[in-house]
Amino acid sequence: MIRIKATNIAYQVKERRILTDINLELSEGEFTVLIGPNGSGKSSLLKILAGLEAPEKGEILFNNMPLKSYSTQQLSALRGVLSQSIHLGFPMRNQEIVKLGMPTRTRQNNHDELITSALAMTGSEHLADANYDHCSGGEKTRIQMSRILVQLWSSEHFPRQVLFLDEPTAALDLKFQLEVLRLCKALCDQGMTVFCILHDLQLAAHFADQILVMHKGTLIEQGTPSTVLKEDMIASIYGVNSHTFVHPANQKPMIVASP
Amino acid sequence: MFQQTQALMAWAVILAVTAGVLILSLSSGAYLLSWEYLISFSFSELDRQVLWEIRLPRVLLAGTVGALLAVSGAALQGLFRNPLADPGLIGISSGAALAVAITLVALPGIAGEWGVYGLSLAAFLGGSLTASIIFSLAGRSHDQIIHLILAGVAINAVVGAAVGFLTYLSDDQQLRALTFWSMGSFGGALWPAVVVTMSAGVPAILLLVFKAQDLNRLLLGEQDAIYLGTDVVRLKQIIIVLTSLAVGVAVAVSGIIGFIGLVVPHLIRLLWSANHQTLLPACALFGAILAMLADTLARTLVAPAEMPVGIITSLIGGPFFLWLLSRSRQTFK
Repeated sequence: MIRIKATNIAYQVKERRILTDINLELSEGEFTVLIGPNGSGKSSLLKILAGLEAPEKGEILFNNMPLKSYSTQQLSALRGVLSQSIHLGFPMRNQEIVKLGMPTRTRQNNHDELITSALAMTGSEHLADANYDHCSGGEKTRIQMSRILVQLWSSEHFPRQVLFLDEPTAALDLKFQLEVLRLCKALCDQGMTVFCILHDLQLAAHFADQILVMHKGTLIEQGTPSTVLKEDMIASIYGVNSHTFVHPANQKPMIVASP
Repeated sequence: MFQQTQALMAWAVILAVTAGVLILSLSSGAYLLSWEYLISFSFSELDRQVLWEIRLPRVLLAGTVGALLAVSGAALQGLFRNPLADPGLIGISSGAALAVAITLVALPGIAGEWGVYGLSLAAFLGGSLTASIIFSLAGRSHDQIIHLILAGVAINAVVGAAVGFLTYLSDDQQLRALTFWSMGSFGGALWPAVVVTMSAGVPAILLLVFKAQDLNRLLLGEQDAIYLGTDVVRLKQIIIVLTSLAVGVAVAVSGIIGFIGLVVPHLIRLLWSANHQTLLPACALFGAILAMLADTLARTLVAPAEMPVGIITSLIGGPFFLWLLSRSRQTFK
């Protein structure tokens, strides 16, 4: 089933054209990775698909209904968004941050259980009582990921939802890069749709069912990792020479940049 | 489990302190009421009159105004995601004050006939107008705090000039009313003022506490609050109206009493929690404690005369504010 369908999306901010002619489909249980150079419009596309910003042209359907017909509250039950780094400036404890994922007026009384298991899923149980702003960048990402798990779990629609992630691996060490993406993959297997911006082509190749390539505000390629990740594509969008191999363990493409 | 016990203990302590300060404030003053008699309800006729006609309305008013200012300060700091957003510093109190001054001088009919009700309404309108102006100036800016403080400086300057001009225009009786009121004092406290302040203030505090979890979400940033399902535009409107109402009635009955809205939320965050579900109710109690103590000092330090309570809160609050600024420059961006 198609969860999100976008047709002819265009977007601009104050005369500056950010996105043109975007067409895409995100299906149930599908892991989509969006790659592209800095400033190519990836985050803008994510915000539009997540319903935060309205496109200037084009139509987005979420479960076959116009995205703009959903209220803020309804959308929060249907999708979660992991933004890039979040700073608070006030001394909140991590478990309080994770609890923010619960609906504000809830009759659920298994709060503590949900919060504890969400923290466990990201390997952060030991951080429950720590002050959020004292945590490292990677720990913050894991706490926010736990918050979004609580948000998704608390909805009656789970797992028929969409999870958006904007560069989730940026601050994570090697182990947690894999852990967080494995967690997303496991959610996909339950039926969740995942839409993830990544810079690491290796991780993209390994986890994506579908890769979208963004360049100067348009999607120039869409397809499976082995059809999209080619040396000439990488040369044309990044201006970097590279070699592709086949990964011995899983036959996915392996990209090595030539310095 | 351990944390819940701890939280219960903390609430028990703060409630006990509130009760203690209440009794202390009721007993001390130019006419001494012994606290043993107070808690055993054994009064002479004179004691009863002093307590009922003078002391009790005054202490209740001080407590309510302190609670209103502290809760409004905490809510505004959450809304602006900035620990320096005090209703006095950013100009909401001044806006309310100007509206009251205009009413006292230009519309003495309203001030006379509607009494404290008219003044409260005027203060609410003045406060919410100023809050909207400040928010449209600073709400979306990246250098938010600079815009906030500068807007506050400008608004406070304009209000100072306008109040000065009104002083110049007013006759002797108006001048007296204006001067007494603008120094910030609970001296004129009578039951009508208590009733107005409590009937507008207590619901405002409760509604703000009801929005605590939404204010917590706002700490993540507007985007992420929206992603979690909070209608941020509506939330901002609600917070601005409620804090303007709270600050408005406080200003109308007691003039400008500075720094409670800044000092109290800060202390609670430092010593206990920044979670608005704890912060807002704790600010209500601690704000009441601080205002009652400051008013007791104002009545007793130079007894039988008294000094404006605004002087005492500013004397404590000003240095505290400077200390905050010097302590963590980076976090206030």
